[in-house]
Amino acid sequence: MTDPWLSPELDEIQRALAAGPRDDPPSRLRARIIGRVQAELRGKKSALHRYPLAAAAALVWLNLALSATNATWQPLDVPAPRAVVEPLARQIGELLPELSRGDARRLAVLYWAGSRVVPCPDVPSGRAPDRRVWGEEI
Amino acid sequence: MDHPANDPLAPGLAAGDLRTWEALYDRLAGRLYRAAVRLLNCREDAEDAVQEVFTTVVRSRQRLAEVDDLDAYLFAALRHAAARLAGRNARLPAASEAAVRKAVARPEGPREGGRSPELSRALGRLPAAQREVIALKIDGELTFAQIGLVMGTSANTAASRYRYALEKLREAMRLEECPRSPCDD
Repeated sequence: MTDPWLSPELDEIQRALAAGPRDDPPSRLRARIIGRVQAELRGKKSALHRYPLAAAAALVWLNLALSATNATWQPLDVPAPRAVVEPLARQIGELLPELSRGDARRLAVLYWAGSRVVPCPDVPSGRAPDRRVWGEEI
Repeated sequence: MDHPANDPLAPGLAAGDLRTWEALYDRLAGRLYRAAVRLLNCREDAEDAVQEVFTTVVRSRQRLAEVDDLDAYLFAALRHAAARLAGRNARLPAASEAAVRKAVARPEGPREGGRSPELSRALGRLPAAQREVIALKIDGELTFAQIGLVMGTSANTAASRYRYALEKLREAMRLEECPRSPCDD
């Protein structure tokens, strides 16, 4: 450790720094680190690494599901009467101007459909229960 | 202490041979740990830093074949790990004068068996960059060329920093011996 380019005084400080018992790593550290290295070599990933992957996958799935839902056109079996839906959509648009015209129309159709639904008890008569809207078969 | 370019362990490490990794641990863990204790002033943090070094290096083991100096490479990884841990714990030795003083007073610092208390206190008051070069030279047992690689400087700059750190230590110890009147007179 003696360096000729250091003055005797600095060399003495250097030797004093290097003197004395040295901190050795605890024996458990070897087992811990070698175990970790072994796990990495086997390709095992810790839970800390799995969690972000799972979260990212869930986000991608959610995003795709929402996109697919928004992009899917779901026509009604029963055409909604324009005479009812259009004024209703206009009213909704006036009440909620931030809604697009399409969204307002969609809400109007939903309101129209909801207003015509009649609760139909499931009577055990041996045949499938009717689904009727004020007498009109749907 | 010196290991030639293209370390003999490098091929085994890159190939993922566990026994070679154990050999690397046996060769470097003590020096890495002692340097980490010096940098972080905490043995538990030092253990975490050494583990982080091995975990980081084993994940990027394919690059080891291109590494010229394996020891310097691992100490560079230790330097980054120590900085991350110090930042995480808001316990960066150079963060503030108060932090340095607190670190000096901490019972968890390196064991100073053969060192005088004045030297230990003076060492604790050094700025982080100078303490880092002391840690790499004394505890890490690196050459100045390796310290230069770790710190991103030339070997001459590393040697100058080290000598400057020793001079600061000498000054601090002189001041501690004669705090009120100059001894040189």
